[in-house]
Amino acid sequence: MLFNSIEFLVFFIVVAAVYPLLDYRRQNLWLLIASYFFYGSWNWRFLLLLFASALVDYTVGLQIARSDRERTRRAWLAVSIAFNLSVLAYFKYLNFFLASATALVQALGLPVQTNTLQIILPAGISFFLFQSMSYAIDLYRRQTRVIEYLPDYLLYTSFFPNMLAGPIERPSHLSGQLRAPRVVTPGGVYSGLALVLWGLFKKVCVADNLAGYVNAVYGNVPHHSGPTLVAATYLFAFQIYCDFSGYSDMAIGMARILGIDLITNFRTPYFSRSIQEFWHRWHISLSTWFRDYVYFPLGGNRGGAARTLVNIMIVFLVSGLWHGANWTFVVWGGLHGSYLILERVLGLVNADGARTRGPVSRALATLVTFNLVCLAWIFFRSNDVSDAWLVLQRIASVSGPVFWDPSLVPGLLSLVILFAVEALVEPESPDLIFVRRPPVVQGILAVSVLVCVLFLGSKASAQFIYFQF
Amino acid sequence: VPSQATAADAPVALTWPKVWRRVGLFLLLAVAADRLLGGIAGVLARRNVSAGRAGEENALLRQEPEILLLGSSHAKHHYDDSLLAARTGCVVRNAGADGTGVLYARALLSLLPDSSRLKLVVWEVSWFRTEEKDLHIIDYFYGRSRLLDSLLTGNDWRSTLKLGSVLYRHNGLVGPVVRSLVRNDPAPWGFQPLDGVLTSVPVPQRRLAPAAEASPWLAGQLAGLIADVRRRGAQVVFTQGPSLEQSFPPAIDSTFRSVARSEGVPWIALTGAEESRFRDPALFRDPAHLNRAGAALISGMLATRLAQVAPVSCP
Repeated sequence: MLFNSIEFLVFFIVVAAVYPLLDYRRQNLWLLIASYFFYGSWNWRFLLLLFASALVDYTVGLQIARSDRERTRRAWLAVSIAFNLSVLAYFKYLNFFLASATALVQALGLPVQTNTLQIILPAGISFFLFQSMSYAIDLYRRQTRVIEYLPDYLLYTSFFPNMLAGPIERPSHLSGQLRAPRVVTPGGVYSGLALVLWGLFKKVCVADNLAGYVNAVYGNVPHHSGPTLVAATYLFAFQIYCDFSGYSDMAIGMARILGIDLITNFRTPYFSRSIQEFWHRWHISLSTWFRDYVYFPLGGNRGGAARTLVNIMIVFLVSGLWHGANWTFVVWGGLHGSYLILERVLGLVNADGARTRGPVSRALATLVTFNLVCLAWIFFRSNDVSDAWLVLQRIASVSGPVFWDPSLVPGLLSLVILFAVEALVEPESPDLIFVRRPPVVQGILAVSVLVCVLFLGSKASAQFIYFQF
Repeated sequence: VPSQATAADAPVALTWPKVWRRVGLFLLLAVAADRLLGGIAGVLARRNVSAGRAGEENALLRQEPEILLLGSSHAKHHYDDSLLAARTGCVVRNAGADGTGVLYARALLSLLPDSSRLKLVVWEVSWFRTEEKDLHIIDYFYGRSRLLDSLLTGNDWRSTLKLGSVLYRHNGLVGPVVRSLVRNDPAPWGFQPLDGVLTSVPVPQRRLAPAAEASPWLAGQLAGLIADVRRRGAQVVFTQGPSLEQSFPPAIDSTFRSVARSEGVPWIALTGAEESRFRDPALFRDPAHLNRAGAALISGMLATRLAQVAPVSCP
């Protein structure tokens, strides 16, 4: 059930219609049933995995909360981290590690038998395991309260709007809302609907319409010229942004309709004037997760300048690997780590982002940042590192015809609309363009977006890119 | 977690009656926009005879053919309708379209007016695994006939709901419509010969996965196509052209043949197995399609065979 499917619309209407009739305990049970049904509709076999992983962290949480002895608490935390990382390693990385080890042994000239396992990656595994892990870590740090009622914890790890592709919630933010009565406000429902509509536009009008061209070009790199690959890379930048932020907008909007606030995940990131600012505006829930649970434990910026730079690189390499079991993601993470290190070393950024003054230098900084991000996207999108190198070589040659596909027209039109709206609201949440206008203007804006969805939206509904992570 | 400014924090002071009023206004505007803008898109789409598949279909419907050639790219690139027209004296129209099968043939046929002067339908057998899904390319004709509507929706409530929107029906037409407004020269349609000669010999054989499960569905659709044509008082003929690779799984092939046999539909076999000349790679542009020389040869053979199995006379 994709968010942009009729089945999901019916599912959500039923969930949202029954929800206000219940008290908050029953609301949690209702949402839990709905969430497990939603996840089961992808692959019911993985419901057991979802339940088991939640049960482990729930038990760990109780043990950590009940113990005052540091060693015991630490041991339980180790159990949680070991369990979650093992599950992640098995489902996501085992084949990658096997293949890499085999390649290494072969490179040394030793005989080796190549074997891979047929492992299906459960949708959204990185998201719900990270959310579950943050609960155990925060409890250990005494930064959140224990969830004693099992259904509440199961819901914390499986809340259907955000379980497959985030935002990755923190216990301090979400679990508190699940433990207390929630108020479904008219304003929340209204702005939630606006956000869902805008997210739908991003997904079906921009992301899905651009996907065909990008897939055609990146699926057959040797047959395309440098200018075509440049075009496909720029289009992929918008495809992935709209695919992922569109999902986040819809998730946040739906949660808001149910009276639950999820953290903002994107803030018009392509308007950033530095890579540092970009990471404050792109996939915010993941970057803050890595900051709090990897960067800070590594020492953050407290170990001197050199150590800080090393820590930054470690965080981004791990972040790259989190995205997928492929060296392309590691290189992508490494590139972003390098950008950040360069910005620091060259003194190009301050606490607010780029050191830029005046509209021209700001525009120039935005342009440079966007292009650096696109350069990294080449590795993120390529099937393997050799393909990515080929893309770079072709782009450097700057010659050849541009492949044109007429089916791009709706996607490009939608891109213009997206740019206009985001430039108007930047850096605020895009739903504000709807809710802070006179009612008739709101209606006209919302209807215009719906018209675009119906007339320009892609009929080939593709799965959200981040589900695979 | 850093505090994030969201609309939830923003001062959106609303009451429930206000929300319902606004949602009501939205729905009202949405329906009005759908009808109005969808209607405009529909008018523009119907005028288009120059761009894309939509233009081809509009042109076909205006032409009122007496002999209609249907099928996939095989039909489109193999059968010269002008040659057939010269041999039969009829208005012949090749409406072969890439990647289409029996569903598309039925849908297109259902758009012809009942009063049309159709005498013969020649269908080059074709089958595609995603035929049902791919039929949405002619969504914009939804509402024109009951048969077409049931083919488009497959009587599925989700498709029916989506096609209830006039704008959604015309989704995907923005490109062709704009192009036909800017440049109204007729697009090449009908028979399109291919140039070039197949060079890689021997030809690799594609092995298709079995598709036995599709056979009952396919048999039903084939029987439907035959009934549709006969209801119009026209004859129907199935043809199978040459290919140097397997075009569809054996189960599909036997379904075509058994339905044709049981319904008494003439079967014109022009494959390499029956006509040894079509084993010559020099007549092919690629393993699946004949080149210009091959098309000229097969068109002549088809005209001769049609005159034998389904003779038609046009005034």
